[in-house]
Amino acid sequence: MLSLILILIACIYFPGVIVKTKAIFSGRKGPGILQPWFDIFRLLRKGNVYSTSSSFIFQISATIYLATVFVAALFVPFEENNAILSFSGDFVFFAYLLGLGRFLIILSALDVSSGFEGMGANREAFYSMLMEPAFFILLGSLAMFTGYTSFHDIFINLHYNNYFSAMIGLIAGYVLANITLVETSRLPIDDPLTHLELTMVHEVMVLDHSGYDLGIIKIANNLKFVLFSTLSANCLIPQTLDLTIRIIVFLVLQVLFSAGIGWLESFRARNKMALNAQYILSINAISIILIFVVIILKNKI
Amino acid sequence: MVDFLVIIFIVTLIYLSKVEMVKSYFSLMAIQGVLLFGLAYLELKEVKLVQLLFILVETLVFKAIFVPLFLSRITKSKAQRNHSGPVKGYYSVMISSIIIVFSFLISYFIHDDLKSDADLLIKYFTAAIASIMVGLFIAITNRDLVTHLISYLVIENGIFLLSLALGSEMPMFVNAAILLDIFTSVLIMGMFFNKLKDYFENADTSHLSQLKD
Amino acid sequence: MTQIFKIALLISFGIFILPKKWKYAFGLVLHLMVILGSASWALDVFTNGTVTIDLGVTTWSGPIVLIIDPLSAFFNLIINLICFCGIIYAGGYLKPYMPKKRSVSIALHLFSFLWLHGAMILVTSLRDGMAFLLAWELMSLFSFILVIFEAQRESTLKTGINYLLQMHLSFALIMLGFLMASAQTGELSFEGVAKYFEQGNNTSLFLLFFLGFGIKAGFIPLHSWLPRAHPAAPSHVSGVMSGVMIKMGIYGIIRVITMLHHDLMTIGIIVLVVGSVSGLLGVIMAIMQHDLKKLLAYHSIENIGIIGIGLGIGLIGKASGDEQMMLLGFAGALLHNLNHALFKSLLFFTAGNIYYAVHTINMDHLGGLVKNMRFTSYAFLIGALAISGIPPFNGFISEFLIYNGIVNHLSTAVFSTFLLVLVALLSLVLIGGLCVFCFTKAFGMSFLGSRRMEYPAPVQEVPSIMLIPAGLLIAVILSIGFLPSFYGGVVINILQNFNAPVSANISDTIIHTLGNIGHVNLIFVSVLIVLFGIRAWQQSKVKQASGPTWGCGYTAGDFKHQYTPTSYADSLRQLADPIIEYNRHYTSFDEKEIFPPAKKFHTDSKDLIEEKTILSWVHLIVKTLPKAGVAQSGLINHYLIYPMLFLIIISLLTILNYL
Repeated sequence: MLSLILILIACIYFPGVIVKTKAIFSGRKGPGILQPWFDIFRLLRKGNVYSTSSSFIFQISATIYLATVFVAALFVPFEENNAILSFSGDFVFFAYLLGLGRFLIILSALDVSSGFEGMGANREAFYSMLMEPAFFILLGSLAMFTGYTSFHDIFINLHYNNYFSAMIGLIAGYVLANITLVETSRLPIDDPLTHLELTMVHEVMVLDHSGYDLGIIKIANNLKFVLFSTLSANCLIPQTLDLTIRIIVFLVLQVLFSAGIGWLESFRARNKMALNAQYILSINAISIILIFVVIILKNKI
Repeated sequence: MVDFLVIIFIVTLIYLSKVEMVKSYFSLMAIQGVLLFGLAYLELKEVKLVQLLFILVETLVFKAIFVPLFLSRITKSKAQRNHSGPVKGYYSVMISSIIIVFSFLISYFIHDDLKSDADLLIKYFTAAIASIMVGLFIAITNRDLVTHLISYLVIENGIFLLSLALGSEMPMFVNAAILLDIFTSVLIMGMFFNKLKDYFENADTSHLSQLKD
Repeated sequence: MTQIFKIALLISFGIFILPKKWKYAFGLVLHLMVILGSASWALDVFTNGTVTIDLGVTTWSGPIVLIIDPLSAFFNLIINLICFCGIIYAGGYLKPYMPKKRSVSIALHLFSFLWLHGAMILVTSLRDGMAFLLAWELMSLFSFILVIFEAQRESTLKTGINYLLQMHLSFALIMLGFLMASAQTGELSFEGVAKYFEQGNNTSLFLLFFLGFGIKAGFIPLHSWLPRAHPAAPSHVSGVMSGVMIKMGIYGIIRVITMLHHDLMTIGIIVLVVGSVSGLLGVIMAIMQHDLKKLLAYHSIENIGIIGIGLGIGLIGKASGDEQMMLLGFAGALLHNLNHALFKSLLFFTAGNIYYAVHTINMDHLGGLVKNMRFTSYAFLIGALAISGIPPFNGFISEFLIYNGIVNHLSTAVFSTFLLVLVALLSLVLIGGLCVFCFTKAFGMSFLGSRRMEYPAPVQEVPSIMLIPAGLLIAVILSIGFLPSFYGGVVINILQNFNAPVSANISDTIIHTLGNIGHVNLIFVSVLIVLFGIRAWQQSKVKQASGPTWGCGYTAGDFKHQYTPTSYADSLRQLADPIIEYNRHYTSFDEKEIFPPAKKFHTDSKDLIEEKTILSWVHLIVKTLPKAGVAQSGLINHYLIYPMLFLIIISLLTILNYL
């Protein structure tokens, strides 16, 4: 339960932190921390505008997307505090459940018969296809290292405070942070604020969503971001600390991560489209290195 | 700590294989130099002052500072882009990860054979083999002069790691000799580079065959 | 009940003399009789254990005896379910053909469909080598007749003959396998094979069977008949063929695997590697297709690959003594048989619906069907989600079992098995991702958006008789998704018959985990219902509007500016370029062309594996054989040289014999 509460708390402030950081770097005062959520609530009060060429898919996709992300959030633990749902191999379920949401969002982009949105849909499908192995290999190597196969057991046993687990936790945290950026279409892959439809990935898919549905999609995106960054934080925060300190560290880590993204988005241009595939592949390569390191360590210790 | 540095070293190899801007080669080389210094420092059991100084010069001063700076000086005049290679970016990432997996396999089997003192061997050996092969791979797939130089440096780093893998004591003379080689090659390359740029638009090695005295 | 089965097959000849309009009804009744007869055996097995039935027919090798163990019963039920759906679907699908086709060809078609059904049931229940081969041959022959239903098209006939030849190659290999075993043990039956395996060196005989059954199953590189035959056949036939007939190959392989004693690791590695390659290449080839049924056919190869991965994982688990991995791998493979039968026949039936409605299944020409064919599109969507292995549908359950086996093994892995398991994990993940890529394309391009070409007539939903089987299949799909522990229990019970019984502890853990998945699926659905409730409540308060799609400032666009299947697949094409052969045909624009005329652009992809493994040899043979034609000069005196040469050689040999 604690993990869900923490995820929701982090979810409240992280989009604001990104916006604020960017504002500060560009020399503006910037809106309040909660402004992104006010925008979402404004959207939630509005009606939808449906494209004339769209069908039922377009109407159900946003809600199913939120439901998948929400149920996926129930699997994420906060270290030794239980996730609400947990069973052997639950990370497979986690990944495939998020796949359902993605599937429907892609379909809804194809539903409006717009060339631009088709392009975005194609990219989303392609990048997530390339990204998936990294996630599975990473979790596989953590499972191999700890000897357990559910999120909850893996993260409890990851930190028995020796030097190997710290090392593996660090690398896993790095890979997961990168996965977060790709899954939530953040900077090196995709610039959420770009205004050129030809180069967008995720945002172009939801160009035609409006009102309530758009608000739902934005909530789901925020939740998904915190979901993955919580997984990353789970790898990084050592368990020897006191619970309250750990919670504070967690919240600070989320702020730092969001600020880091804000910094990245202020100073870096996004990748060329052609470079995205190799960016994602190199994350895969790092996770492959990790799994080999783990097997060698396992046979040694 | 040592394991961690080795892993980071291997990760830099992946990033090396997908570099697009020549600029990022230099920062990666600098990182590798620092990593090597850390490794050598941690690994040497009894450090004599002379030895420490030599390592300091070799890794930190030479590899991490001098070469990257020198190279970025000579390429500064023109924002060079490195995409003359025939291999697409994602294939080179794939191939370099295959190389790394391959070197893991090789060192694992050697480790199985030797058993003695294998602890030390396996990590450095993996990194060394991976580094040498990735260096070769970069040299094969690129025609740019600076990139060739970088690939030699990567190979040299691999040899440095191999010397760590081979024993507790650094064979100093071997290292010194290699270092000298690299030093001269950097200088000669620098000269060549400037010459090439005088005559041709870019420093493509295929132009070298057209040079006459 | 056995009598009903026999009577149905006997009176089936009557279908040729009945009037045309009664033929279908008669066929349906016969199918029901077969189902009634054979399914009762299977249900009996699940309550009482292995059943032996004497069919009362005696051949030269003794009376034909059916031995039905849980494994046979499992396949038996799958066959009956899918064939039942198939014959109902045929009722609608064949209607337009009724006036066009001659009475005898309709009768032959229905007759073959029935006999295919019966032959498959027999294949799963016969143990005697001769009888098994006979049933196998019947199955191949009748499916051949079914494939060439539209034999007026030359391409269909050609495909059919290709199919028939490959099936006979498979037949020959299986027969060789039986003969090899009987030469050692004296028994031409599965018992003989089992005895042979007990003696040592299992690899070579297994490989023989694996090749023979693998042609039927469609493992790469033995797959080349599959992407041809499936699109050529009518949809109810391709649904049954892809859903169950190729599973007969898998049945054979599993049957042989249950008898293995030695060399498990080698065999496991072979099966795993072949499975991974089939899975990956199958789905990549599928993405390149324009033809919806061809795409589905390549997906059959992919799913066979997943089954192969499961079997390989099971074998490696058995070889390395990891009981849990063995159980999970085999259970995943078995359950995937059922799952694939369900969603693949569902998808083929819905593809048939599209063909019925608009007379094309080329995805470049489709689009926007969701507005006119609502139920078909629901069915296709569910099939697409299920085949992509997405929860809460059934495909996920079997893939999850295999994943779980892999992940559980990782913690105890040693280096050699670790590598194998890593290969399996990587290929499963990639297959899953590519499958999503492929089916977003297939569903999005054919059903969503606007039409890409003019349809010849206004599009209408197909008659409801063609939707009933889809409904039935969806019900079973959902039941697996929400009650996985029940199906998991059934499958694990079957596995107890494999020659290494599993401890109850492990199987309980697995069933418990599956039960958890069922619960989470329910939680997910309830969250979904709550969210939809909130949405409906909010929507009722505010005004809804509709308008044209936002064209990003470009207002002149029309339906031709949509994304096409080819462009959707292009990003993957660039990545996978070395392993696919992909051609574009077009005339490029001239530099000085100010008013260019209409141009054409056309792409196609070839099957590189087929090209390299089969066709290149064929071309070589075709090129070299004419040179042998020198010998046939047409002059009688030349021909007389040959007997003379023969005589000389013979006499030389005699002399050699003396020495």
